[in-house]
Amino acid sequence: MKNTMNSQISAVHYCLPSERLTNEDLAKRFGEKTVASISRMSGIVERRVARPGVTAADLAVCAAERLLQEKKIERDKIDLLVFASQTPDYQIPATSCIIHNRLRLRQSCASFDINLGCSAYPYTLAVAHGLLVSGAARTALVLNADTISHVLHPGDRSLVTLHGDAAAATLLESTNEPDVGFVGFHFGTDGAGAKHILIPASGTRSPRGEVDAVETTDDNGNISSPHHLQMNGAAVFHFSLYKVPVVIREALDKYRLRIDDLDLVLLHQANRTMDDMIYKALKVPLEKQFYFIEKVGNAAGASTPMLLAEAWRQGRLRPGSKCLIAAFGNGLSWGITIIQWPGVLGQAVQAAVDYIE
Amino acid sequence: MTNAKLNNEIEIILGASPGSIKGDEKLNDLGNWDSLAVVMLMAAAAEKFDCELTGEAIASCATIADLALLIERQRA
Repeated sequence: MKNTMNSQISAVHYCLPSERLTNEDLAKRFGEKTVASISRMSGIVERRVARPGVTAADLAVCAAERLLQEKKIERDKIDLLVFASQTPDYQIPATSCIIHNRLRLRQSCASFDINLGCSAYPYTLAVAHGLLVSGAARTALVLNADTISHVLHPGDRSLVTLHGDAAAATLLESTNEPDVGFVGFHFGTDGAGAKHILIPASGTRSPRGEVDAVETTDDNGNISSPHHLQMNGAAVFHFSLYKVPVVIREALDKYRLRIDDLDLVLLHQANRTMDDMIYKALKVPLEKQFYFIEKVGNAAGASTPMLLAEAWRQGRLRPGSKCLIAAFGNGLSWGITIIQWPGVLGQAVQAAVDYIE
Repeated sequence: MTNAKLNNEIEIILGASPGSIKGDEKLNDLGNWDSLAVVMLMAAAAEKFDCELTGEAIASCATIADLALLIERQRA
């Protein structure tokens, strides 16, 4: 296969668990005043949570199936599958291989996992894009999914109030159409911040079987254990507020662009106040901002593709748009991509988003 | 930034009635001075006091007066 000029996103769709965890539900657990304060700060009134037994892979398969059906994509056309999640079905084998089987893709299709959290989307797009422009593949299905609710302690109000579960499916295709597709990517890592968001007893460093799930309660009343996700909220907030605008400016400088050259700036949906402040720091005008957090919460790696899907569905993505997507999160890790949309934009995927078993 | 502005901001963060915060309170005595309050103060400092605060710096403060001094030092 020949190298191609670029690749472009042909379709994006997402899937949500049908169970809703509302602020009213959480007020009974944590108190009305506390939940109201968190909601004011975060902008979240409801989040979707997958019931036990429903995994990120299940949600991802759902999103992928609906995208393929609505867009009438022959599944034999898919020759690359990327699954990004930090809540995989198993440590071994790669969940992408299991999804490959469930989607009945052809055997000559590359499938692999990427282990990244909230920053995942630009990375997954870049990897898929690289394989497409090299000629190693022509049509990629990129799946970003997480069921973070399954790794939270129910007594940890600092995290339970923020996180929701979701999966997104993105179809990426080679293109030789000039001036269309990815303008570029910009990535970065601050591994010194790894300790700020982690599950201590996970993987082989502190195997779960050897570390008891001893519960601790912090000064703020949040209950956790080494088996559950833990976050230093202040450190992560500081990183988001002060580092993210800097790296977005770096990305713009790298490609000799300014905010004025963009039509839409999409930020990882972790916290409404934080995103407001990032937009303000970058002087992004209101008409270039877009949010999708109120009813879905922070959906980790699925957040930014879901945001893109919704911007497309709501007509915020227009023909010829130039769009910046910035995702950032555990690692600490960040990824930015700038995309030039074609002059004729395909119809957004309209299929239902609720997961049904 | 006057101390009155900081007191007012802390009232907003804690949902306390206007004028109830005097500025000499110990943070641990404020009842709901928690990780959310810290993050909200970081946001307020950035937005309203033109001042960058970290969680560690705030944690090193025992009283609202300490916070006021911290903010003044950061702004200087």
